[in-house]
Amino acid sequence: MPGGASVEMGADIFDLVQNSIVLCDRGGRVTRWNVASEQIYGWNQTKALGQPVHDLLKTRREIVPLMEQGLRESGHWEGDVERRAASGVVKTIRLKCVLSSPTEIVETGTDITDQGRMEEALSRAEHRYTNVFRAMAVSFWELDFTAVGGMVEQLRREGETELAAYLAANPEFVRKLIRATQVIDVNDLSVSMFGRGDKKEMLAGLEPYWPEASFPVYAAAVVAAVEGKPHFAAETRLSSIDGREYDVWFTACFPPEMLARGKLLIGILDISADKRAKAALEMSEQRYRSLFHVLPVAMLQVDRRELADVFTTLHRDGVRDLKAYFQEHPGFYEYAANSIQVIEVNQRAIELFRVRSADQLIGSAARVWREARETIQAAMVARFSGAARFEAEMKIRTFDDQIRDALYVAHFPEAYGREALGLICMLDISDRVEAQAKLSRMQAEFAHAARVSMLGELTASIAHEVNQPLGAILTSGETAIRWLDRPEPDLGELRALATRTVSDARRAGDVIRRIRSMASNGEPELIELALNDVVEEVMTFLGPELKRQTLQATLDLAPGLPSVRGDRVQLQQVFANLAVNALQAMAGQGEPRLLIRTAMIDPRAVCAMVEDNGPGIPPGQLHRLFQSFFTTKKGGMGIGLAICRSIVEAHGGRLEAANLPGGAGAQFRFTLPASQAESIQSSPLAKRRADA
Amino acid sequence: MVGLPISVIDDDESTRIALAGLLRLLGFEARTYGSAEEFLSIGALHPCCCIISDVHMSGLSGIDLKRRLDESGECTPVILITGRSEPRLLAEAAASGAICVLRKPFDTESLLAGLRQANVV
Repeated sequence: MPGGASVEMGADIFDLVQNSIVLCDRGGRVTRWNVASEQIYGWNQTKALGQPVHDLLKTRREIVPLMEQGLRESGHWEGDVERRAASGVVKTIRLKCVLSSPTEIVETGTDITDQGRMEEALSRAEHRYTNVFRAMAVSFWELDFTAVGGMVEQLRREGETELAAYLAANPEFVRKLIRATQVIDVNDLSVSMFGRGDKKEMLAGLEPYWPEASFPVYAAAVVAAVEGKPHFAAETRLSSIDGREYDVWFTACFPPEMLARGKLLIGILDISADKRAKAALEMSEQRYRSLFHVLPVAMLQVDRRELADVFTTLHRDGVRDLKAYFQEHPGFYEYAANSIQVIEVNQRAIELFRVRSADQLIGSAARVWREARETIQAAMVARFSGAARFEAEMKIRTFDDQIRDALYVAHFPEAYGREALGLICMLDISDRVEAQAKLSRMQAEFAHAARVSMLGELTASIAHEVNQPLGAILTSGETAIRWLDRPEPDLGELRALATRTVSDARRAGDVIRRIRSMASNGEPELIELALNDVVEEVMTFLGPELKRQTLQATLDLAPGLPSVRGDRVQLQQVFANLAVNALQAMAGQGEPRLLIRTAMIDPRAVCAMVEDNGPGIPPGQLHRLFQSFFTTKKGGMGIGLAICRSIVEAHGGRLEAANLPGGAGAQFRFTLPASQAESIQSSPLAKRRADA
Repeated sequence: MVGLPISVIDDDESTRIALAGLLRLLGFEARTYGSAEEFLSIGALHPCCCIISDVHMSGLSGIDLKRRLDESGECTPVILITGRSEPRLLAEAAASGAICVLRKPFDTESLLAGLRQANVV
């Protein structure tokens, strides 16, 4: 053997070395055994020589094929192995094996058992550090991956190139790998999390902790290790030995030097609590989401981060009055409105803006606010000054170019801070606004018509008042002429006639003087009317006044009344006049009550009654009530009731006043002939019975 | 001129006095009343040949009065006078069975024409 001499020569040198040096033949039998080997393993040379080294030293069986494979393929292997010394003590040997010739293996070994103890000591020194990890609830596991490495290598040798796919397709193989993964060590937390208080119990296969649903994560970790990735991390679900499951963050490090020794350190972070919080958050988010989509209010989620940043800058630059800033920088509004992004909208928003899908609203908010510059600018000013909420009525232009009225409420939740996600709610109040406009229009029309009609009625009333003295003047004048035509005129009679003429002329002049202006007589417009509607309209008109006086107004409208033929505005005026008179009569008294009733007297007449619980009409004034210019009211013109009566009479009806029995108040009652036409359907408004 | 007096009913005193003065000058006896009710209660005791009544008065109107008279079988001719000009009111007055309706101010000739229709003259 050519190298024999040198080996022989080197024998002494071997003995000088502190490392164990063992020479084996190709069959693994010991051919040389140096002094250090005796010291480390406790076997003397005599005992060792000729023995199969792995049998002698109880090298862990899984390792042996790996060593042989390494030697066969690359002529060398190195790694940490556990061996048993003659004393039975298990030692950790850092082994380096070299195939020095086709028939000889040289293995050098260093006893690193103590080194391990030192490492342990070191870790004790790092107790505090470890504590930190404990506090962070990280479970550490040291795993022996050696067998797994062998199995995967075997697979590769069998020609399997797509490891990931293979593992995915063969869960049973993954199960075998997991079973073959040995737990070498775990920290306390791992014991409390995954064990039953006994750490030793856990120092076996990994299988109990790895539920089948989590196999893919194990497989991915294996693939990562094989592919030479430095580490692997994934969220998965692991189980304790007695079946409690945890959501965990699983990390594995593959430093080459550890891999070489078939070892692996994994860290497991319990994220169950995290998960629960997240789940709660998701649920709350879900609730918010369903509210967002279900509430019958148009809602837009906007991202106003950019504007918030601009606001911050403006604040820093000393801008205090954003309104003034808008005026000084004409382009700023455009920019600001465009910077706000609509990021989500609900179904009602889609309906409000009359778009086909949410996408059309997503994007710059300026498109959504085309008709509302003033309002949006005001909202921005409010936000700039720190308001958390802004509310205003605004006009919006729908995408099919209709103008709608909306109540605009913007909410800037503080929780989002500068990243300001804003929530905008819009309520379509077009109907309300329209109804209000209609009411004001009606009020205006009513007031106008009342004025016109009043002047018309006034004219008739005035004509009567003037015709009365004129008639007397004419008669007196003609009488006087007839006296003068007599041969002996009665001067006393003539004087009396002249005196009366003067006084009647004055009376006529007084009437005229009391009239400041006159309008031409408006022709009444006679149409088929439901008396109940007229009453309802007047009550609507008087609503605010009734409310102001905290008056209990009761409508008792008989259903199915025949219609009347009349001028709506004039009849409204009669009602309004009677109702206002009643209110004035009751002014200042406690518990004023107004009762308006309608009824059918006979098939040819309907009547309406306005009753109050005021002081009633003084008996002596009852007959003068409808005379023009008769008034008991300070500052009253005394034509209201006169006009009312002439209106009612012009409609072929009667207006009468009476006191209710027992001094319970006054009643004005007017009767109108029923129209010959079919009873017209009362509007829904009039069907309501209401207390104002 | 002899015969029964003419009754003048008007709630306007001046009209009442002027009319009565004219009628007396024309040779009639005239009795005046401030309301239809007054006439019905007092005047019924004093037969007259003609009634000249205002239409529009507080209380009973001239038209009401004519109706009452009709109801009680009293057929003294009635001349209605009025200061009002609403067509509906005039039509109602005309339809009441009055001899004629005179609109104030009216001249003596119109009154005389009415009295002639009433066969008083």
